Amino acid sequence: MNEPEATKVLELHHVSKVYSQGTAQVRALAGVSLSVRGGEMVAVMGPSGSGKSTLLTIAGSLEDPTSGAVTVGGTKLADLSRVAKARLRRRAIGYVFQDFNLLPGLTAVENVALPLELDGVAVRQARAAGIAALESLGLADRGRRFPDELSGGERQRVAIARALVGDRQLLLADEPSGALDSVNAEEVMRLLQEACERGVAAVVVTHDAQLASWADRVMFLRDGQVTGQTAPPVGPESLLTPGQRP
Amino acid sequence: MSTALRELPDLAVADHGGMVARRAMIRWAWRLSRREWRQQILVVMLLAIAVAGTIIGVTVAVNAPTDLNTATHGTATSAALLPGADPHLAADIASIRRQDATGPVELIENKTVPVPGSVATADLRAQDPHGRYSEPMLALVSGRYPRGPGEVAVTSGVAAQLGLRTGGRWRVDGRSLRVTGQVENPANLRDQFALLPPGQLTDPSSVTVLYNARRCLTAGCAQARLHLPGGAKREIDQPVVRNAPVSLTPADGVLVLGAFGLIFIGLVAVTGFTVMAQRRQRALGMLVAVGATDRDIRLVMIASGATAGVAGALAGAVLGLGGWLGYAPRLQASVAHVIDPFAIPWLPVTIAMAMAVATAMAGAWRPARTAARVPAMTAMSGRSYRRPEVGRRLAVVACALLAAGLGLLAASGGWARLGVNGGSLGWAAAIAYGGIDTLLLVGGLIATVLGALLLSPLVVGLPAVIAGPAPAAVRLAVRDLGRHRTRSGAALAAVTFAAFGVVLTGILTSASYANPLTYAGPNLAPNQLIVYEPHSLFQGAAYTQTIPPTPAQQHALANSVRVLATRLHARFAIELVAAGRPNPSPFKSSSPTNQQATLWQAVSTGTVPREKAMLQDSSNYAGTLYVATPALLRAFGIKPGQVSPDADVLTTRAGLPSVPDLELLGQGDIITHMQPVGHEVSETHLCPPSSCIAHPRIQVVTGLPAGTSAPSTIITEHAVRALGQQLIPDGWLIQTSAPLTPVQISAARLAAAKAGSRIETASGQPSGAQLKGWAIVVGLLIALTVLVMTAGLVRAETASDLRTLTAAGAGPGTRRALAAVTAGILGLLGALLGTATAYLAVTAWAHASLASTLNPVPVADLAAILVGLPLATGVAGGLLSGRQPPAIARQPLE
Repeated sequence: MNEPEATKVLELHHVSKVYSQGTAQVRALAGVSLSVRGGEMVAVMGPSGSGKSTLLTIAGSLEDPTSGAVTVGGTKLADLSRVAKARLRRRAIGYVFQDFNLLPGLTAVENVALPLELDGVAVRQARAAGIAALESLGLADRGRRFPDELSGGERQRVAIARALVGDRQLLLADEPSGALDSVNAEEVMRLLQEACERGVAAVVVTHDAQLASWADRVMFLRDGQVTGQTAPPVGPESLLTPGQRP
Repeated sequence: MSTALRELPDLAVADHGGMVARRAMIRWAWRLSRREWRQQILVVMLLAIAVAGTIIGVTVAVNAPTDLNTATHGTATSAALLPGADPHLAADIASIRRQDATGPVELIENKTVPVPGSVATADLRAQDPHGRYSEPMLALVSGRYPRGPGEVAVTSGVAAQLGLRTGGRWRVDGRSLRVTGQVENPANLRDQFALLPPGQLTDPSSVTVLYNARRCLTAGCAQARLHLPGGAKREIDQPVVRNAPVSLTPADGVLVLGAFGLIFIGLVAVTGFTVMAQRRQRALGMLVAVGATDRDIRLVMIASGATAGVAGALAGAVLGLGGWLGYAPRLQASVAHVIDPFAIPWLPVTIAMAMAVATAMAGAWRPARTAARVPAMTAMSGRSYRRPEVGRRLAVVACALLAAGLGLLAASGGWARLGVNGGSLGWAAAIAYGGIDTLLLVGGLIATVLGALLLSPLVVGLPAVIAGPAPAAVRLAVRDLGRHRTRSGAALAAVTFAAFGVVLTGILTSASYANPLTYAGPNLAPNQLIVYEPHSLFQGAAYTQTIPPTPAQQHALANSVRVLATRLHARFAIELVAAGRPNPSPFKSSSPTNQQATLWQAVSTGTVPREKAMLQDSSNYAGTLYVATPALLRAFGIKPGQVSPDADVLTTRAGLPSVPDLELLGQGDIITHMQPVGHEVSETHLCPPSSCIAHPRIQVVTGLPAGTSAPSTIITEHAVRALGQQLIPDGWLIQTSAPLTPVQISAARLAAAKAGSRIETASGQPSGAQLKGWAIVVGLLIALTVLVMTAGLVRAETASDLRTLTAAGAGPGTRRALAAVTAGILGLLGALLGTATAYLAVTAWAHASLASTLNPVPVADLAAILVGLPLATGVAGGLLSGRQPPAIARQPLE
């Protein structure tokens, strides 16, 4: 039996991306397909230039594919305007970057509450949600600190809080532990897994095989093409239909 | 594990997050501005200077103009001057008083009494301190007004001259008066007088009758309104027209200039904010990643612009108002009327501040728009973003603006229409009489400048095309300029604007000061001194008599001059003789040109409609036309054989013979008209052979002095005879070997005062060349400062290149070369573009008189701009760089 459409948070169907650099053309992705269910964590691995980050930016609506279709929560991104995509990112998609990308000048809680404020949520409510998100990540006492007053691990946890605040459904993490030591890196992966346990779908780009082992599934990319992936875990649905794998 | 997917929001609805999102963006922009204020200091400083300058300029323009009508008429529209010697005066005064003592007229009695040891006189004035019309002419400084016989109040000047103080006594006019206080004429602080109560002055030398002649526009009408049954003679000026429609005041002019200055600053702001946007690029990309819309991104940058604008406006307001409060007392002393330092024109001040904020926001707009278009991942990666090519569209717009601007300039009429504008006439009259030309001129200038500025981003890429064989540092510099056209184009536009102003000033001042007829410059050399005859018309704006001196008076003055010349060890002292007709009306209140022979250039009224001819280019010789006596020629080493026998005029001004349509006029041939109302113009009627020489023969003689008050242009004796004029002794020119010292000048003044005369020495007025030089130096300094600063900003974005270069082994020399070439190329391009634009604009505007406008070519000014500016900016840019700036291209956010 096919996987129920409603459980698919992210779906990429034969996605290709070609960058033009003058007369030269660089194919970053070539017919990549990927489906991620709610609560599932997919790790994407591959060498530099394999198209991992491009995959993430296309999945997050920051770039449009040259061909193929991207669906988030059942909505085709190609049908959305720039404003609608921005709204989608505010409400449904959370990003975590390797170098944290927190805004200087805003405190930790203000950084976390920013997507909500951009979405028009009243400042007080947005702050409350931000504080709650920070508390859930063990940063309740760091809310009033500015980013340059936090450690690297704390900054990344703030970035994760910002990516999760507001009931996001899709978490996209690009080397989230790349700038952290092993202890903090493990902590970040644990937090991502906790988010997935709450129903969030996550796609994590990483070089580290040990960190990739936190994922439910690992996809390998090389030269923009999927060269292999580990089997997804057996889900409850498959138990009901023997002999079939999603 | 939950696998239920929550429903997505309605993404089709456009939603920008509303006020909350805007507040969040503004808050972040505000905090960034506080953290990164150093990056905006250039823009804030320039804005503050512009606002301060505009505020001071506007406030001065509002407060400085002297209302001489208020000083002499009070609130009355007309003043009749009745000579004291008239036998009918007493009867008429009595009649006026009988008619209505406090009624529609007011009397001010005057008597001039000499001030011992001074050329000045004191005016005894019987005037009601609370007069119907004259109240604005009088103010109490200290003490009290005189109330009865035997009391007097004096002005500070009279008190100082006569050593009077409040409570003291003054013997004058055969009586002893007690000084009750100090008074002044607030509308004319140079008006020195002693105030008596009304009716306390016997034998007045003149009586002024103030009255209202409503709806009268001519002196005849005003005269008819004043009924003097005794029939006393009277002299009545043109009535004062109050509340005339005013469309463009001096304050408006300053405001327009301030707006032009702010355009220039706006261009600098574009560069500054572009670099700021580049520095924030990754943060802005992150904002997009978390869901910010294009509008949010633009708002961040525009809010930063607003912050800088508000900071600049507030700082400028503090500077400007503080500067005005400090300057107001000096201005009051200079313009000689009371100035209220708190009479600040708040509306223009507010407009100037609002313009500063708008300028900064406009400067941030383009970088904001560009930043919003950068793809999020490109922004976050720190890679530079190349905008889609808009060159062709920009070129079309720029060329269209240039063409439109040049067309408007060509239609605006050139020199002939300059200054003929709305002014105090109101736009309706201005349009009726050709004032629309001013609108065309301003519009043409704006369009031309904007067109040239829009070309900047295109021009800035040109050097890269020809930089192939150049050294690496040069290649890198010029290619960076081309790659980052937004900011380097804005910097080039700023420099172009400054260069345009400098070259335009150079061309126009060269042409203007080269005009031999209206030449402006120093009055005398520092070693020259003129002692005027008491009757001379040429000793300032005011004179009281034109009756020639008696032989005895002449002899006495000649003796005094000889003594003075001996004391000063003079090289020579020669008598200056004017040509004119003696004994015109002592009450004739008109300019000296009406009384003396003059050179006049006028448009013939026979070939163009009268009203147009009156408004066209008519001007008279700026200076004194003395007679070429043998003594004068001998003093300056001019031999009789050097003078052509048929020459009418000898001059040191080389271009004078080629001035077209000149007439050498005798006295009284220029009639002053008042048409349209409130705008005085003059015209010549015919040029009768008995008193006018059409196309006089003018010979250039290099030996004559050059000053405007010196005999630099002189009439030959045979021309004087042809004009039917007489020789009237006018003064003495003393020339010493060395410049006169202040002590010598003071001694000369005292000696002249004793002889009842006055002196004139070098005024220190700058020459045209000096004025032009200062204008160019100031313009160059502005261009240089902006260029070095903006070049620094442009280079800052390529810090990563510098890091790479340093890693590759490049030393400080390479870094200096990069900065120097960047600044130098921008300077050269700006100078070329600005110069070309200025010449195009002048060519279009003055196409009817191109030869005289473009000659002489201001070679030195052009060299300073085209060679000096690029060199200076290159050197300055190189000297100020060298230290490797912190890498910013891949600067982590946190």
